[in-house]
Amino acid sequence: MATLPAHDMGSAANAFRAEVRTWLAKNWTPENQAAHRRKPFKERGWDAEFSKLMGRDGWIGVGWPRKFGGQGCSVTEQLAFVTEMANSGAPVQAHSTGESIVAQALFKHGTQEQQDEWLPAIRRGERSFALGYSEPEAGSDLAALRTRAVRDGDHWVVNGQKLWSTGGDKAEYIWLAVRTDPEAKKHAGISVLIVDLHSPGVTLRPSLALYGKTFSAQFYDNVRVPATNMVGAVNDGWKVITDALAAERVMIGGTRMAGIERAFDRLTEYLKTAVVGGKALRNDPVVRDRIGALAADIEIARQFQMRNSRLIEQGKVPLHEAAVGKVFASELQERLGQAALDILGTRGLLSEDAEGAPLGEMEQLLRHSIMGMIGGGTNEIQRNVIAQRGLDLPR
Amino acid sequence: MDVRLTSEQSLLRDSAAKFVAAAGPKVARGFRGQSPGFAPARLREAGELGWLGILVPEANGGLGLGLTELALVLQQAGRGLVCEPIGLAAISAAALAQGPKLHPMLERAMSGAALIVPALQEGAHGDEPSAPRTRLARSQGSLRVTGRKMFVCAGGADGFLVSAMGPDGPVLCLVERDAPGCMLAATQTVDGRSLFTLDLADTPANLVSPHPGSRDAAETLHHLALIALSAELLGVMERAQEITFDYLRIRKQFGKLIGSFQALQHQAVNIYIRTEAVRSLVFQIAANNEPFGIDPALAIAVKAKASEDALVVTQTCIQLHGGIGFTDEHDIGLYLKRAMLLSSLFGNVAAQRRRYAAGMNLSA
Ligand SMILES: Cc1cc2nc3c(=O)[nH]c(=O)nc-3n(C[C@H](O)[C@H](O)[C@H](O)COP(=O)(O)OP(=O)(O)OC[C@H]3O[C@@H](n4cnc5c(N)ncnc54)[C@H](O)[C@@H]3O)c2cc1C
Repeated sequence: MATLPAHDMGSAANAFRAEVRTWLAKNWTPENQAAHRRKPFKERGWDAEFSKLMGRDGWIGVGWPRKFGGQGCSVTEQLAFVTEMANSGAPVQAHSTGESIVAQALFKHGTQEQQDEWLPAIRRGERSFALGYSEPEAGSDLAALRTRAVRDGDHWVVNGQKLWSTGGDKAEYIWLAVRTDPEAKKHAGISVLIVDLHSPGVTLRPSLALYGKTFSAQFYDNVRVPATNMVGAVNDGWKVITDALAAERVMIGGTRMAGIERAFDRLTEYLKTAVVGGKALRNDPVVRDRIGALAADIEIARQFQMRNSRLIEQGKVPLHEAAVGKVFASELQERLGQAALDILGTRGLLSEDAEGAPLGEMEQLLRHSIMGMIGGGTNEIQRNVIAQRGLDLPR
Repeated sequence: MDVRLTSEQSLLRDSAAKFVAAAGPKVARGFRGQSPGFAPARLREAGELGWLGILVPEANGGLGLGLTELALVLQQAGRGLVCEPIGLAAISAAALAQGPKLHPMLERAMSGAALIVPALQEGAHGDEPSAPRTRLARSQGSLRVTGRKMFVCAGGADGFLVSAMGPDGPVLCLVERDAPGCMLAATQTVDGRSLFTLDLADTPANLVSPHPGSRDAAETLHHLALIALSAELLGVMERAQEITFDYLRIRKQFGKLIGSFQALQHQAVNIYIRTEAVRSLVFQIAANNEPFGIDPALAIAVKAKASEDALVVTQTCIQLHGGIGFTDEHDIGLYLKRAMLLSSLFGNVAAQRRRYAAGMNLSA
């Protein structure tokens, strides 16, 4: 069994992908990779120095419009890029939220001053962000958020609590959704602030997530934020948030798919030599059936991705289409995790930091896959969107 | 859908539930990454309650009970994420009690003063228990065993019941932890418990007599282990499900209790049905089989079913919790991790099914 054939994304994107590979071969060497793997599992994926290196060579913001210093790549090329990066396992989390969600919002809703202040620094890999959306009472029902911001002179004063910000313990800034009008209808009284996580009054409480990495709760106690850090108009935050999310769904999906493909390749690699009861495991018909089914599903998930990126290129916003892609890919990820556990047997249990865990992070794959079905809007919520918006079923 | 129990069985279940009340997720959390990963005093307490000798004939000082009683205790252990290896200790004590003479180790094994655990697995994919690669040979008048056992729950163990191929076929033998040539290497698992590779090099061993009705002590112990693990998995599923249903009754989003959303109700019902299926399988098999005469097909079938469903159930439980279920602080994740561990020990669902199919005569 060989690894999956590379995904044909059209000649421009294929060529672009080759360029990315050349850069990675020089800058993400086996030695870098080995050093990265020596870090504890929860530290992997985030590397401020590597982000600066990518920034130096122009690999942050490849999809940004040229006027903001980007390469103006097509959505499909961007997809090729994120997939290639994720496939390589290179650490991109230190810049990815800023490059994607924050920058997208700034293009559309930022003032000239804000664009000048934040975008070049993000592009150089010098600004890291976490996302501050969820709260104890506001998860799926994000618009119920209650963290308050009250205007005081040329500042906003923030009080409240956020939960589960991925990378919150490492990031410098947080992209914070706050309530600025408690009297208005719930979607109408929300605004977005960029908050320095080192501001007085911010308390961070990191905790371990089930998949072995950290996320952080934050407590805001009279935190003063310059009014110039509000992105978009006061009380117009819901639009800022949803615009940025729509633009980013495809890229998030690309990263997810790359993770799936990488894990799948490792699994087939393992199967090349695995022997059970004197027989090559790769010849077991049940194993072959499962591997074949997974490979077919990976192709399908890639096609969903391509469809969504074409829609964006046509100036449309894939909404239920993006939800279909997310549900399909995250559930594929879970099936892959289960297949890996079954195929690896007891060895699949060794924890990610264990010496001699055969495929490094395989066991963790299953736990990680559950995250895919919760984070970024749960699959139940995605299905509601598909049913009501896509299929036009009654609410 | 309660299993119909005699009053003695109900008492046993209740005393196990009481024991478990002092365990639970908080205690299990404290044992993660620790060595030996459980409290030896609690193991002795289980011994005092008679559970480690639950299958040992009364004449040998045990309770002389059957698989139903074993399952009742282990179901509770699963519910409470108990870390003391009660099931493995109990089936090992039972295996030591089958010979014509009283085994010198039996009393200590039953009291919990010594922990003896099975060391049967040799590979990651489940094994054919009657064909171990580990060898037993006689040299200079004594028995010596050589080979490698994997994924042994050896934390805190004083000895191992090792399956080996002897001159006349498969045998079970007792190897002491401190015996020369006996080496243990630990690896951490997702559950926070260590599993060990046991290397034996010309290590002194003593034969363990099989039950008079069975030909192969190693194979019968293996099947007993499959039932024990399945009963424990059942408890894990049950408790995870209860925690989840309680959460569906209190968590609100969009101004409603999330348990009122049909999308979640249907998932809740699906895991309930899976759990009930495992429950009826475990207790049917327990009621209709003798501990040393378990129908191999049934032992394999129940471990396959419990291993698969426990993973589906505990994963769904996390999904139904949303983000909070994904935090390490929340208990529900511990149930998933315990399910992952128990599902894979002595062969996961794929390994069981492979063995089941191999045992069926599929040719025309
Ligand atoms: C690994 C991870 C990383 C995360 N990172 C971040 C981050 O960086 N920043 C951030 O702000 N947030 C983050 N989150 C939070 C995430 O966005 C929320 O967990 C998610 O939106 C769900 O909200 P909740 O956890 O409150 O679950 P709830 O909304 O309470 O959901 C509980 C259950 O109810 C279901 N449910 C809710 N409403 C409905 C409905 N109407 N119909 C049917 N079913 C429903 C859900 O699907 C779920 O099964 C992260 C979460 C995870 C798991």
